[in-house]
Amino acid sequence: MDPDAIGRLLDRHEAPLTLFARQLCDAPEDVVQEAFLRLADLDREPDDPGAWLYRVARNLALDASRAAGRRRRHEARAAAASPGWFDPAPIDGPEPAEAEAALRSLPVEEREVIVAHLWGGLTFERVGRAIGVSSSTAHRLYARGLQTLRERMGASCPTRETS
Amino acid sequence: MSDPRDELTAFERSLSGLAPSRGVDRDRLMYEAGRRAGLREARPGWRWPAVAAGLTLATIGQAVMLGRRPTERVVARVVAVPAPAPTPVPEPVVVLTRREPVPASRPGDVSPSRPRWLTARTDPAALAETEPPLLSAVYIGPLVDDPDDTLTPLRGRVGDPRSIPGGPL
Repeated sequence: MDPDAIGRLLDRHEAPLTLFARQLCDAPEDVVQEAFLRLADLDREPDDPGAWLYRVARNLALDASRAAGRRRRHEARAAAASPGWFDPAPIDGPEPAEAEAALRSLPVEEREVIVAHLWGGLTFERVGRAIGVSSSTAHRLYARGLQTLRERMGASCPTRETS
Repeated sequence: MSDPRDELTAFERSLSGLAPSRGVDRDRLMYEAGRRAGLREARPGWRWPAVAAGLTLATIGQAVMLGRRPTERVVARVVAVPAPAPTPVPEPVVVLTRREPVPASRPGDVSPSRPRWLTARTDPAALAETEPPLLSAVYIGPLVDDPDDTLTPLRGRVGDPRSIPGGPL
């Protein structure tokens, strides 16, 4: 693939993709790097590179987390060494640590959808394609997870202003 | 394609304002991508390895077959072959051919005092009346069924074991 296209996709998807992979495994940086390397190995760009990256990163993260014993052994150490899921927030924004804690409390399916939609910018159809569910299921998971987040972070906002 | 975040609520918008931390070293990733691309271009295709693997398998198979080749067995088999009937050998025959007799000469040409053999040398006609005809050839061999029974063997036919063309004896 064209290195410029790789660079653009890297700028656009690297951080949210790392957060997405972090929901599934302990070494999200390695997973994201491998996903981009596989994208670079392709002869032609996929029709939807964003969804392709999320799908490949998800598969790689699941493979990486299959060793349950190894995951449990490294979980505490990884959590302690992790720099945090979010960069320091602007003054009027939500607290990163609070958002991370609230996000951690959600089921992994809801976290996947929320991260891919909210930070990855994927539509529910593309999210569904990436994680292997229908778009309506993705939307339902998102709404339920967002409601839980709002409750735990003490926010009182409408879920959606438009359809 | 419209960004789905355009339709976010205030809570979603404030939440999406949090920037996920970056963990991937961009320079390292681009270097690794270039290195892999170089390796992929330098990597040989599948055809030659496939041919080499096939030939290797064939060689191994032939070696195994050579090692397991069964020993040769000697089978004794008695076959009755009828003896050929002896070919009858024709009895040799002797054919004598005659020269045509020379017409008789005039009487009185031969001097009575002259020896007869000398007369024959100089005048064969003188001997025509007194000497038997001279032999022109002798043939010893099988009898050939031929209308010209006496002359054919003298012409050197193929298969005649002994033909002796010649002049008068």
